[in-house]
Amino acid sequence: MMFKKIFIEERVLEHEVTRRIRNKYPQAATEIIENYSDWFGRVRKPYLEKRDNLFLYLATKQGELVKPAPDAYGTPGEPHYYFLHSYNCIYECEYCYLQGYFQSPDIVLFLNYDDIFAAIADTGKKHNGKVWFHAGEFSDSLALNHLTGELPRMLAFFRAHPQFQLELRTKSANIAALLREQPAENLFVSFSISPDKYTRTIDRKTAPLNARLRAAAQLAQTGYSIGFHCDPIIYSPDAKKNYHELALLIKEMIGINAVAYISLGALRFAEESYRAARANYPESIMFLDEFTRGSDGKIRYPRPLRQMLLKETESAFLEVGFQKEQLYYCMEV
Amino acid sequence: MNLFVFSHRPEASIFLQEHAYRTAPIMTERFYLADDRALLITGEHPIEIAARVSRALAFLGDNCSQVYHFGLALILEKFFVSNQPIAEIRICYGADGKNLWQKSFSLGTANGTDLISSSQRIRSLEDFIFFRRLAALADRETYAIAMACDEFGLRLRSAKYLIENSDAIESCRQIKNQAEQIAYELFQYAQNFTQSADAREENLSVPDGFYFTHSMRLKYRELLHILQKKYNLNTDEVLARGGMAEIKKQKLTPKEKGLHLLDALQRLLNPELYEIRRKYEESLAPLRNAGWKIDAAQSLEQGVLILSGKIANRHEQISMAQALLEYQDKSNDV
Repeated sequence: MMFKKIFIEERVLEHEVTRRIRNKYPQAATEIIENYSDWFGRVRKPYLEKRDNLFLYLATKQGELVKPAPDAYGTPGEPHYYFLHSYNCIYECEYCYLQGYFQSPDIVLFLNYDDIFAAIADTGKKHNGKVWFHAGEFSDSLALNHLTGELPRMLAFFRAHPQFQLELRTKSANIAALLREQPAENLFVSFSISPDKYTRTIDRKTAPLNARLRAAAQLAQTGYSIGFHCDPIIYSPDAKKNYHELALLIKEMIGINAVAYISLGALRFAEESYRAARANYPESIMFLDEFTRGSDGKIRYPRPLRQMLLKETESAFLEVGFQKEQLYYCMEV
Repeated sequence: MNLFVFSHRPEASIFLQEHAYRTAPIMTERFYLADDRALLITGEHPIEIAARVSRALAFLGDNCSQVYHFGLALILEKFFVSNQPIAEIRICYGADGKNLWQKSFSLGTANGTDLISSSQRIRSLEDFIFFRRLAALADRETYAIAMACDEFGLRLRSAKYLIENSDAIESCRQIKNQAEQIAYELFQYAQNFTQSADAREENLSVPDGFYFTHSMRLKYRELLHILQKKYNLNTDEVLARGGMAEIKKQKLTPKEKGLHLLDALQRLLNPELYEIRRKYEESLAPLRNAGWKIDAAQSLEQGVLILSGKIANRHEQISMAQALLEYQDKSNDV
């Protein structure tokens, strides 16, 4: 991966991450700017430009640093938030909602970690019991951690606040930094997965399924809590068989009891993302079935189809031995 | 037909010489027609450009399938520009002063160079630094041309002769002195660049004995495309599997045959979903027969029954109430 240009806010010019990244990409042109938001997303940059014309912004995030997660985003019955530590992703999943979310595929890394942790602490104080904080709503939580070096600091913060649950969501197998750290019960690493044939074709540039599962197994053995997101589930007549095989793989490689939760979510798009995905990947196997507008305005499979799909996937995991309490539907209406 | 757009006459000179153009009936001093192409000289101001390209495209109508623009561009950042004298444009951004336009246009050249069209001339060092953050090249005209093309559903392709970032007056003098050479190089480049690309949708042949309205035709095209890919079949195989031959034999109007064919292709797309919908429609039949109007698609999607009805007399009241009482929702039988 190569950044063609690096935009650096003046205030993070001397930041250790800035220095590290500039050393790593000496050939990238650099621009010193006042504020990333003067440039990032100001004009629409086509999503597929990320393939060979990717820019990186090193910036500080102002304003809201922690936001409530949407309904049915995480395990039910507990408050969920996500925090903003970066925008956009180096991977290219054909269904990714980011292709219709920002006006640009360029990567933004926010380096004001202390501000972000302070905002998390403030938000957490509002709740008595467990409260979840998710990284990776707008990016992959682990894909660039070798560049940012942010994990030790982040994990130390959450170890010091055991009532806060941290979830790192990823499609990578970039776990070297995690293995060097001390795990804790409130540190969850979750892997988004699909049956192998979809991982290979649709999750472009991500770690292969086997690599993700091996990484999950290593982390589970080390003591991290592990989650999986079967999301998006793509319809095919043999979906149940495919997910049965996937459930067996998880059982063999990680073990049923080592899995804290598995979310199930049928393929869906915000309208903008649907239009972008149709334009970017018109021949994608995602579009071999019918879609309709759900009651929440999202573009989804027709309700009977997605209900059937979710039930079949759920029963595939139950038949392998996973418990109903380990499974939940994500963002389903 | 291809439309060739230039800002200035000197850049178009060889193009005009090499083809038998005649003056068009509109914009007679700047718009020219030949058998398989048209050529427009727009001038330099973005508003004039957008207006003139739009007028030309409206005049050409469906005859125009592709627009090409050739011209000059100023190099803002050499780092991203190849050593060739001419560069194809990949993305065109636009700016009015320091205000960047939100929309950008992809010009369909994967390995091209990015360009920003500025409504004002880029003169100061500050301007250079500002604009090069976004693009390696700058001009005044491409964005306006791309915008007009976009309005007509046509994609623009553009190639630019590159000029160095030098003193403006010196730069103009150079261009004037080299005008013929630049025009010749652009013309040479255009020979390989302008292979005909029909930007309009291909014609779709409708099977004999069938009739499709416009919306049915769109649906037919979409279903055919998906089914070919889904089952790895060619068109004939898809239609055979959809039972086209049997539908053709039926005593129906061509339009009814078209509707039956679409229905058969829809069933082929996802037999399970089709069956659910069929059963659902079946379960709604008594309600419809009793006079209820039902939004079946939304009812199924929302998991509620959305119906409306008009009761004119006691008899209708009883039969519609009876139908409601007897209705059994089969949508959850999945």
